[in-house]
Amino acid sequence: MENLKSQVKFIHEIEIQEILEVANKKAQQIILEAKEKAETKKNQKAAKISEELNEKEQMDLALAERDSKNKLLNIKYHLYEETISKSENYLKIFTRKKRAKYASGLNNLIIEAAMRLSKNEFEILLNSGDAELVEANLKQLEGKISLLKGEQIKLRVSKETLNAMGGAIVRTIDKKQIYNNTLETRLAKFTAESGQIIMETLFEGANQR
Amino acid sequence: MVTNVSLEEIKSLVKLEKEADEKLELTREEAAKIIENAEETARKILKDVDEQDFSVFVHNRLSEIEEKKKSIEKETEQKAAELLENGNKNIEKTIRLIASLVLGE
Repeated sequence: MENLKSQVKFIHEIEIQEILEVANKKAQQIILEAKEKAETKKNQKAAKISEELNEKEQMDLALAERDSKNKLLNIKYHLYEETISKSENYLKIFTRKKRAKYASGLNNLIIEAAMRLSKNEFEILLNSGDAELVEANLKQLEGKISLLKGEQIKLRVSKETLNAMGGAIVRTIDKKQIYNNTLETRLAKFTAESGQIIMETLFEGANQR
Repeated sequence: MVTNVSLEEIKSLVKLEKEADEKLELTREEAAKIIENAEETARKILKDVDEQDFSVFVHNRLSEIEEKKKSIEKETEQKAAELLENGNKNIEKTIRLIASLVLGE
C-alpha cells in the first residue's frame, strides 16, 4: 500500500513540474515575441522619422542653395547693368571730350559700314555734332574705301541727322541697303555677343559658382 | 497475488489522491497566472514602444539641418562680398573694354 501511495505522489509531482515548465516556456516565448515585435516597431518608427527628416533636409538645403544662387546672380546682374550704363556714359563723354581720337574711331566705323554694303555711292547719317568731323575727312574716307573695295566710290554726308550719341549709319543712295553702326547699336550688339567676356572681366578674381 | 487491504488504508489512498488533485489544480492556476503575467509584460513592452519619445533625435536632426542652412548662407555672404569687391574693382577696366569694342579699337 505504501508503495502505491509513493507512486501516486511521484506521478503528481512529475505532472506539476511539466505544467510549470510548459507555462514558463510559453511565458518566455510571449515576452520574446513582444520584444522582437517592439524592436521592429521601434526601427520602423525611427526609419520613418529619419526619412521624413532627410526629405526635409533635402528640400531645405535645395531652397537655401537656390536662394544663394539667386542672390549671387542678382548681384552680378546689377553690377553688369551698372557697368553697361556707365559704359554708355563713358562713350558719351568720350565723343565730346576726346574729339580727335573719336574722329579716328568714327572714320573706322564709317569704313566698316561701307564695306558691308555693295554699290558705290553712299550716304552717311550722323548726329548734328559729328557732321563737321566727317565732312573734313570725306575725301580721305572716299580714298580709303575705294582702295579697300577696289573701285571708285562716292560718299556724302546726309542732311538728315541722327539722334544718337555717336557713330554712323551708312546707306546706299537708293536707300535699299543700310548698315547701322551707331554707338548705341554697337553697344547693344557687343553686350549681347560678348556678355561672357564682359562678365569674366567684371568678376575676374572672384570665386565663380 | 491477493493482498488484504484495510478500509483505513483505502480511505488514506483516496485522501492522498484528492490532495494531489487539489495541488494539481493550484499548479494549473499558477501556470495560468505565469502566462497572464507574461502577456501583461508583453503589452507593456509594446505600449512603451508606442510611447517612445523621439523628440531629442528630431531636435538634434533639425539643429543639424539648420546649421547646414546657416553654413550655405554664410558662404553666400562671403561670395557676395567677394563678387561686389571684385566687380567694383574691375568695373573701370570692363568699361574700357566695352568702349574699345564699341569704338572698334
